[in-house]
Amino acid sequence: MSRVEMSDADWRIQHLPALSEVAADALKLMAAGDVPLGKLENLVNRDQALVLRILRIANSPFYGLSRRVATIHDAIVLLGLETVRGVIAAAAVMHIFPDQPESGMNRSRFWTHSVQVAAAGKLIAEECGFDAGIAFCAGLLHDVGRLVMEFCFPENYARVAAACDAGEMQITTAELSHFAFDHGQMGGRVASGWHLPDSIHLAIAAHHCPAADHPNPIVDVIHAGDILAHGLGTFPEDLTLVPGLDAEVWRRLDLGESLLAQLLPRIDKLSRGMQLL
Amino acid sequence: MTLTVSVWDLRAGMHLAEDLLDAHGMLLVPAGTEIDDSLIARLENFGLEQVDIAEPTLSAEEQAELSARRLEFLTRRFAIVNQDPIAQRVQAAIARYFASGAGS
Repeated sequence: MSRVEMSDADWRIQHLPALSEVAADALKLMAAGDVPLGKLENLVNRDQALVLRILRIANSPFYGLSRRVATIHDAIVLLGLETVRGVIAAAAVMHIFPDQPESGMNRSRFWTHSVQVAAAGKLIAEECGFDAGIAFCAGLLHDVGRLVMEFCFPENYARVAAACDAGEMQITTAELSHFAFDHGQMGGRVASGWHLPDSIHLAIAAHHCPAADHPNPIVDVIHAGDILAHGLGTFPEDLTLVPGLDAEVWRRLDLGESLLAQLLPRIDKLSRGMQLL
Repeated sequence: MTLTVSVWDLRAGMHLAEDLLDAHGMLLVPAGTEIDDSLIARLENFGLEQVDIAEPTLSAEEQAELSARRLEFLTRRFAIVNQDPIAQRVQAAIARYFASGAGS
């Protein structure tokens, strides 16, 4: 099977199904500085499936809220705009790239991992004083490039997924043996039309290769969160290899032994309390 | 150990950790009941949001076996990066967590 070039991918990206109208409009609305909440609520309320998913996440033990969240208004107030943005984007992405029976990549493990990274990103950001909502959103979306690659090139990506699942190669290494690009590059291209904040877009594109000269706190947090999540695995016999670590990121975040020991159970517990699928 | 999960996240094969009572204190479903699809539908109809689920209790032997298996696969996941001193630190922290018997 021949290697997939970026030119093949560019053509396929142009023909990807679009985000749902409500999701696209909501993301665009949220991209503007001052978000009119009433307008956002009315917009989201037009898509009941989206409303249900947001409320489900808002009511999950992940947030440990003492009262039931029944409306989009309450969800936005209680969860914050960034988390709602993450959930809208993740829900829209799930809609475009549904689980396929012949899919080579296990979708439930994919989302488990994404939730683990979202949880890790949120907790590390809180510890480091960065925006935890943005980190959560970035974590949910960080591997979206894998879904796009699988959707556009299912046969090639099935081989990538098989090599990753068997622990033969790290994910990006496996991708680069079948494609001229990896999921970071692909995710960055696709997400560029989604009106996400720059740092989330950057985290999708660069979580495996954080820029040395322009460090970004959200990219750092997602890079580290991804390592911790891969280290924990999505199930006890998970063989997916841990990606390479960027020493500069770890130096900047300064996650010491006691903080790591404190974070790991919280990441594990938080992500187990929330399932997206 | 119990785990609070939203009704949406219930899966067949889980076990209820506590008795489910109605508003008058009448027993609806006893603790320990294995959850199946029809029970999930009933719980949704009751309007329940969250349910306490019993995490499977393992014997000391089973727990030791699970910890050993987790540690073995942890080592395998770090196989490519285990020369990196930072990766070694992360792996050691996760190993301590797994060895403590916690974790999924």
